[in-house]
Amino acid sequence: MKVIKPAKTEKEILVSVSQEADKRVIQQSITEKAEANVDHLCGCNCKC
Amino acid sequence: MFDIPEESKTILYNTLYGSLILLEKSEKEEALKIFGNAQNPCFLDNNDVCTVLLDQKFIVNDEIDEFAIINNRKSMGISDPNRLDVILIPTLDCNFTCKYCYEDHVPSQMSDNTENSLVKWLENEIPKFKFVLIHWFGGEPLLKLNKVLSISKKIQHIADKHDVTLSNQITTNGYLLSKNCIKKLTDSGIFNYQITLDGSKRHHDTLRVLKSGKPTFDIIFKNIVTLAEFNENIKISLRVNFNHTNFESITELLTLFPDNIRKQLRVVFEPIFGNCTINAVDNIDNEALSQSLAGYYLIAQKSGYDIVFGLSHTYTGKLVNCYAERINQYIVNYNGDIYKCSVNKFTGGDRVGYIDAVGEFIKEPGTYTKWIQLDHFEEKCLKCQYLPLCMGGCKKMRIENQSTGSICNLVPTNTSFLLKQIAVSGLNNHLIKEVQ
Repeated sequence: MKVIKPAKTEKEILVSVSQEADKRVIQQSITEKAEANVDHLCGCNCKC
Repeated sequence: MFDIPEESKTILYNTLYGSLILLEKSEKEEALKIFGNAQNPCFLDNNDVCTVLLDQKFIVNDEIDEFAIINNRKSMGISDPNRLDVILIPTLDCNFTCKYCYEDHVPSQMSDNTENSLVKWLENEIPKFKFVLIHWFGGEPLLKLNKVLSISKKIQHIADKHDVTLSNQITTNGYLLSKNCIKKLTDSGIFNYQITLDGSKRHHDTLRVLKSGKPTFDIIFKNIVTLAEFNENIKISLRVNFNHTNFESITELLTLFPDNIRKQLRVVFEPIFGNCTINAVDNIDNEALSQSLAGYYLIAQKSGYDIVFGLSHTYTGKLVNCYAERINQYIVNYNGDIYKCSVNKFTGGDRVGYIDAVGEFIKEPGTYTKWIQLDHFEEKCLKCQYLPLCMGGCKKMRIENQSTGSICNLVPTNTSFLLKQIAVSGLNNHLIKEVQ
């Protein structure tokens, strides 16, 4: 049995939204989660 | 749990905590026995498989309320006190008439008065945060380049004054990105771009055309290369909106860009949605779509492009389903109206408020309250094993469907296939590292 990825702790998961988070941590989280761009959908609702 | 028949092994993936383990055949049988026998705790037998399952949180004590954990993540994500997200729409007008666009492109532009009100509002808001994300959106924002530059300069000044980190992005069709324009934008601190090419030239030029009907591929392609080569710190999200007509041309598109700029291009494939006959969901089989997408992302990765999550914006530790759920997120239209979701015609109906002349955000009681007070999850989400990865689906669709649970965002990506890909990609990354 091999652990490929260990379980994350809640502290790790919530680090970027904690009061103590520094800017570098917040930026890293945004980059890792690809949140820098508007993740909008593209579509048409014309019902044609 | 997914078997890898060719290796006689099994992957076990924990959607809540992200743990990923590889089991031999005998260990899989042991794990199944343990999972099937909750009445007799395995740790009493000093069992190795059990120890790993406990350590990696595949087995947890009865008193741990895992739904409360998910609920807390979502609450924390919604109320995130550290960042402000503002999407600015300097105009709803556009030089394109893309076949699938949901917006009505009316001639419009942000007036100087609205710009002044916006800046006053930002002078109050920005100092409250550590990090500010400004996204330029439209319409086509570069039709009002001077407005983008003027406001960007003022926002940079406010951020500098209060020692707040600022990150600027722009979503543009890329047609007007001349070298001169690129220089002005980068001088204003805009280094992140989202530009769409819908497959190869032949396919793109049927979906994304100028108002005159003329093709756009060649100019956009040339501009993307110029943009990337202008400064190596520029990042471009290369977006491909696909349906049955252009899906298979994605591979061809990926061969076109020069090697030296590929690491600056992050590819994102998005199905065209909606009730229209050209949507992807009704025209491509789910399984085929999922498998092909996984293949395209793999090709992109091997070809030197940047990819993030591969199949979907799904990862362990997701806090909200979408940026629009964050309480400190706003879309400011050219006229000062405020919205939450960018999939909108911006004609007033979904407006959650507006910025008044003195820079105050005046809330629209009905729509704002409905948006903010909606339950975190639908009833049926509470029973879904994918909830920690999805975090409840599209809020706008949920409101439109009166919280009936009839909308699921994981469609059309085919949930079981999606999950398998997440697990397998985690395994592959590990194997790649081991080889290195």
